[in-house]
Amino acid sequence: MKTETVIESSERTTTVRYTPENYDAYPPAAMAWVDGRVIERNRDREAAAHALLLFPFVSGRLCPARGCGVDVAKPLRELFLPRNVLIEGVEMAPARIPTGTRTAIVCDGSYRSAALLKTRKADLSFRLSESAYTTLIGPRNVVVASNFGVFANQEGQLNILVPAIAAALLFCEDLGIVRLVLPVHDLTAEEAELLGRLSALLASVNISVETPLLGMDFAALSRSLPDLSGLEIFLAERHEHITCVEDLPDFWLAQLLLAQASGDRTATTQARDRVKILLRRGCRLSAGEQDLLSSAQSASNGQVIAQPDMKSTT
Amino acid sequence: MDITSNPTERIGRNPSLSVIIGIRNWGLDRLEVAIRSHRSSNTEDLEIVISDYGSDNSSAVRKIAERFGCGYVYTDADVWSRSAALNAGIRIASSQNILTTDGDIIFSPRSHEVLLSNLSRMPDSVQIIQCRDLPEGYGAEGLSSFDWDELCSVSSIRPRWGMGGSATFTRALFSRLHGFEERMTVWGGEDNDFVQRARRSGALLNWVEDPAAQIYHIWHAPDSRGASPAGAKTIEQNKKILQNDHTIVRNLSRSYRGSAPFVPTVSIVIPIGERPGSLRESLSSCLRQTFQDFELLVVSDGSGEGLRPILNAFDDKRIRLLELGESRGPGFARNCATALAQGEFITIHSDEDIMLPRRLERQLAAIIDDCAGSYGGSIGFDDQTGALTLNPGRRAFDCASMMFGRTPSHTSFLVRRRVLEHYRYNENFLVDSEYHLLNRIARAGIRLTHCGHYVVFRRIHANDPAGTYLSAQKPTAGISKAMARSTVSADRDHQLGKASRANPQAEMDLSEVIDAIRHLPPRLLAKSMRLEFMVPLPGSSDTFKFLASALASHRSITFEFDSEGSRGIVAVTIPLDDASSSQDDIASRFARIGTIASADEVVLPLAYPNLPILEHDLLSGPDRKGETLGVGRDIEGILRVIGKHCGRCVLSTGEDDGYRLDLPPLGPATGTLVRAKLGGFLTNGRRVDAEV
Repeated sequence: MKTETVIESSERTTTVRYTPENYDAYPPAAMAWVDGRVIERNRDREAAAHALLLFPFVSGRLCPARGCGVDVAKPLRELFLPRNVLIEGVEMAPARIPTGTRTAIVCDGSYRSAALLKTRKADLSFRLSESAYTTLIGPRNVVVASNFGVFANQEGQLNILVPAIAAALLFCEDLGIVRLVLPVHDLTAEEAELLGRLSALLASVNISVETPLLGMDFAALSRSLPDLSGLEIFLAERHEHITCVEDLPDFWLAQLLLAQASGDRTATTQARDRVKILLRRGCRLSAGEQDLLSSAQSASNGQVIAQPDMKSTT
Repeated sequence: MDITSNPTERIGRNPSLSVIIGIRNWGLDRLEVAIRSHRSSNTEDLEIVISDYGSDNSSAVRKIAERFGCGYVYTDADVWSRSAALNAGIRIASSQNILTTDGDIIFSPRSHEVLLSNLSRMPDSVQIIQCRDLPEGYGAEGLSSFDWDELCSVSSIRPRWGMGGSATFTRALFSRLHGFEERMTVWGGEDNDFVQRARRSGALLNWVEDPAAQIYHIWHAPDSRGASPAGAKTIEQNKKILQNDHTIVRNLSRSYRGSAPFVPTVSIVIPIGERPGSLRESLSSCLRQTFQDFELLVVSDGSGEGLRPILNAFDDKRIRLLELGESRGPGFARNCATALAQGEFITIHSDEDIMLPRRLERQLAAIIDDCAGSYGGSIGFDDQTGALTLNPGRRAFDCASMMFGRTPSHTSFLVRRRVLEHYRYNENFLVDSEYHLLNRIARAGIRLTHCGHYVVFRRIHANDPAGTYLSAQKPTAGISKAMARSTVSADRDHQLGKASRANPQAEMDLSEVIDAIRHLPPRLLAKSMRLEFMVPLPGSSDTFKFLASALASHRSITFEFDSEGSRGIVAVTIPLDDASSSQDDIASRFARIGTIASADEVVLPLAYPNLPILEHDLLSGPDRKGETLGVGRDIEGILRVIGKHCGRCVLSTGEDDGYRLDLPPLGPATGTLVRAKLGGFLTNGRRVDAEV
């Protein structure tokens, strides 16, 4: 896949153009774009962003127009394993690696993102929006109008975040970001592997990755959730297509966690039933969330579920 | 007739991988060796399906299949087609993961495991293992057991010309592409063609480079493919398809629905509001599609108890019902349907609309290169009169046209499900959320192509939601346009406006509309008969007496006049609403006044007395109206005036003291002249000069 970043100043957009080659898949849109101009364009971060954005579509070789440094080439190649992807344009000469000071939470609008705001102090929240017409860049919030999101073509908490990470990477130097916090809690084995490779790639361009919720007990996670009204505001702002947060599985999963934490059986049953209705309507849960639902089901059937952490909160 | 035996009936659960082997008159010894290699895999829950495409020794093949616990499907065929054989095998396979291969390829024990592992990491991919060719001496007879190290050392690697005898992919990808190309016969090119289409549709090609995954071609004497002139021609034909056909979805006249778990190629989504009045017509039009591999997802958005019996009456397993309880609006219903849809493409349909029978076929066939879907023209029809309005849609789907131009009908779109999973209807817009959605999809740079046809009839009547909410609809579209335009500079806005104007309406032949008319509800159609005369009718008083008498019995006649020369009558159209008059009777009666060149039955909406009026209305648009006048019974005088200045007119009985005269739209000067000349014949407040 040949890739190139083009700044279209008249349109105030930054575009990633690509040309699929022999083994590549064709991405879903004619080009990828973010609304807003990226000022500082580090060659290696740009190559890493291209690789992440086009991760599901690259096979054979990756040719970033500006090449990449030798220290980035290896993690770039390994990102695609078990695909054997050759990296073109590798420069041996040493090059500057940007740095920064700020920590950004990459937000996906999930209840996990809401919990992360309390769990991990961060300088700013970064998210993509497909429906916003302009990018909002403020000191604490960055909402990037973009079509990057449509490039995620697999389910999974990490898989759907990857385009947002690619976009964040493009803006990292401008915004002084040096650390990305990801709202992942429950990954498949394949995603866990990918997280390792992705972290290695970002590390090679001076960006560290944190996943404070990963593998955390649900009871502990529930303690980081905002209260009901806070949750409603959080979700409503980040899901612009809905009229009612009660249509979101994330709302009811959070409610389920809060109800279990407070020992409220009625609220637990209500939240569990609502998640089940949403499941019948096609919503998808991670394996951990399915276990959570099963445990709520068992509890309402009269079985005692051992939840040591819960005891301390009830 | 197909003979099928499915091993999953015995297994009782879905296997992790279905291995499909297509054969015809194959060496049975090689087939046995190939099957043995699969049965030696360390992936235990493999399903093997032998697809026998017309072997002469089919009973022997079947016995081998039974001996090794394989599924077996036999297709009676005269010509070998590896594509068709594989498709037939996949049709009865029961796994969501498919491995297609040949009866002379052996797989090392861990190959299946590696392929499945790769597929779980890259679900949207075709996994290929580079084949190694075994030398002479390593035919079936020498492979009673497998020494994989030895085979590796003696074999030679085959260049990556083709796909090397195997391809592994998901059933979802198979459904998206709708199988291997069956126009390709014998073998050669079908794997490459499949992979090229897969790549254009978003699936990558991965050459497996794990040393644990090895496949070998069993040595045998070369076959005769390509040696004969006929064989060479076949190879050339396959090559042409591979090089020149850029479409993604193939075999549109075939169906791969079988007993196995079925992934539909298309999900038709029909949200139903509070009045499913026209639902039967709407559903019937879906089920009559020439392309049949779809599911029909009916979303009950507060439609009540009456819906289920209507759906049950169709007794079609492809119909699925999603009940939402209270009505939350079409945007919400459509988003819910997207979440449940299984098809690789989604088309939104309305419970008011009628799909034309080739809609899915034409829209799927139009998806070329890396397009994510297609759209077409729509024909609005008045639910009382059948009057038609055309919306052909712009030739190109782009951001500029969405911002400035008239939008193609939303229900004429067919789009990849994954696009709609990301770009959702905004439920805050009670009406016209579809416009906002299409605007965002266009802005995203998602490619959609016009299929070049009208694809749907849109019902227009007083209770249509679009009519009811018209006042809300305009602001919604306006808001969406304003949001898009407010973020670009004035110069850019000007450029986009210019680009929109440069994108013309799609051009489609009017004959397509006329052909489509028969699919309107029968209650909106009227039959008539058009008689064309060999030469213009003589202007004799006998002729006009006959016409007056015919008008009295048929109540309405459309007259068409010679545009040059005599200006006489060249054709008449008579309604066929009188059961007592057969078409032959009418023709023989009119033969008394002139030699008939042709007599054709014409089916038209009630709003149009004849074809020229329909054509004129559709081509010149609804703004150019004709004129209706009350005239006396001097048919000769009236027709002589009209014949000189107009191409046609309609005379009808019904006025107390005369006829009703319908004139086509006329230019200002001609209109004034005709009205002046007709002044003496008018009954509207004027004296009638003459009576017949």
